Amino acid sequence: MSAEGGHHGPIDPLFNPVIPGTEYHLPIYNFVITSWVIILILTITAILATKNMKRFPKGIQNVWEYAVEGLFGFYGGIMGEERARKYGPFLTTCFLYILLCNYSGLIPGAAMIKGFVPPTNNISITAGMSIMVFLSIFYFGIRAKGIGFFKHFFQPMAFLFILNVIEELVRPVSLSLRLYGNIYGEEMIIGKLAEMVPFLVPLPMMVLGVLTGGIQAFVFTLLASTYIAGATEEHH
Amino acid sequence: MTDDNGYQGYKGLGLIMSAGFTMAASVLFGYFAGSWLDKYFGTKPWLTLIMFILGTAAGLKSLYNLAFPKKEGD
Amino acid sequence: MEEILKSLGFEFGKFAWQVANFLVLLFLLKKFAYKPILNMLDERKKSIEDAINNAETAKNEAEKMRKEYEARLAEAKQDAQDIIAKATKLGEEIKKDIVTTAQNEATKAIQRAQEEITREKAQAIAALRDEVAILAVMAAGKILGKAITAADHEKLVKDFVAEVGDLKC
Repeated sequence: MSAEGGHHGPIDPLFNPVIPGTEYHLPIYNFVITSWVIILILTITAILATKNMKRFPKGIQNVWEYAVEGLFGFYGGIMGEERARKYGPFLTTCFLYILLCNYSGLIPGAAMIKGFVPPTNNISITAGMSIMVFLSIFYFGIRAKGIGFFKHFFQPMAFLFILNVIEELVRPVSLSLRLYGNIYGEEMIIGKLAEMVPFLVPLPMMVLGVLTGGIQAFVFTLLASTYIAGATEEHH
Repeated sequence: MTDDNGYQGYKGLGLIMSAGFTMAASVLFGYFAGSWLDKYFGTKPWLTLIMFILGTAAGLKSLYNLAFPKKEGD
Repeated sequence: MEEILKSLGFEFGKFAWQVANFLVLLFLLKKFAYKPILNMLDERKKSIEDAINNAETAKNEAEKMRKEYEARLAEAKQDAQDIIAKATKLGEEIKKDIVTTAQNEATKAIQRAQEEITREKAQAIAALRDEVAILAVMAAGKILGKAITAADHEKLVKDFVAEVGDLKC
């Protein structure tokens, strides 16, 4: 098992119930519970923000509107407003989920809570995110351009086919390793420092953690959006 | 169209920060994929070498693509 | 391959959970966040656009009205000018008329007065002539020492007058 398993120490999976009528188990990992909490927080705030929308936004509606408007504007700068509308929901979900996952590792003392494991410091989870991006490139690309999507593997020259395939395959690998490496490394440093000197010293590292968490969520989303932009580009 | 908003700076910053890792991941991917293929076909060390070079080339190409994205309507 | 993944701590169960969780979150946020918020943003954008368009229209309308009023004002000014000119001309004419009429009246009045004077004079002369004749006859009677009958008297006067009448007074 990975080093972080030993560091956080909890039993993983936390629950391992048998699926009724079969002999298979459904392991509920610690991170799954954290992930559900994040999903709940996002969904509940979203419902609260949009349940009773005002023309002049206040409070939580304002926060959500600001986030959506800003992020969609950002995608618009990369792929144009029309495509930002199409692919924005996917990209925004990536960003918000990764951001909250990253920040969940920064809550002091949260590691003591049962079932609380920051999801993004695990390669399986970042790989899950990256595979979603990888598949979405194909899904959006084929949906936008049909079979013509595969033409770009032979561009600009046919003999670059193998390079293009490698490039495409490296994308999810680099996405997941980047996210995992940065968050895991930063959290490990904070953890070790907190073990050695509990007070004050970890504080600047926490600030760094906030920075890293935001930057990595941003970089992941930025790369995903440039990949999707490239896959859905119209050639005439 | 892509220059008319204030996000360009953030975009550039993000791409710069991602560039190093993209390059490293390409090279490593080439190396590991090559050694796996070598083991599968028993052609050690040729495929490792070829894939290593291809991975490096792919990394360079993806950096180029990040720096000069294809423009709409090309 | 497996060793690499294992050494990184990759577990398929977690991977699958993550994919499932992500899809659930994507569905939920699409339903509860993006759709209503984007609709709201569109609505707001549209209402702002409408407001700007309305303002633009109102401005144009006001500008048009202003021009119209200006044109009308200029027209009114021109009209007033015309009216004044016409009135002035009319006044001139009336004045000329009045003056002419007055002059005619005056001429006529003078003429009438002159005629009157002439007639009066003639009358006075006639009256004087009669008086003088009677006095003369009476004086003559006294001198003659005899009364003159009425018939004589009349005859005398008549003769006298006839004689004197030829005189220029």
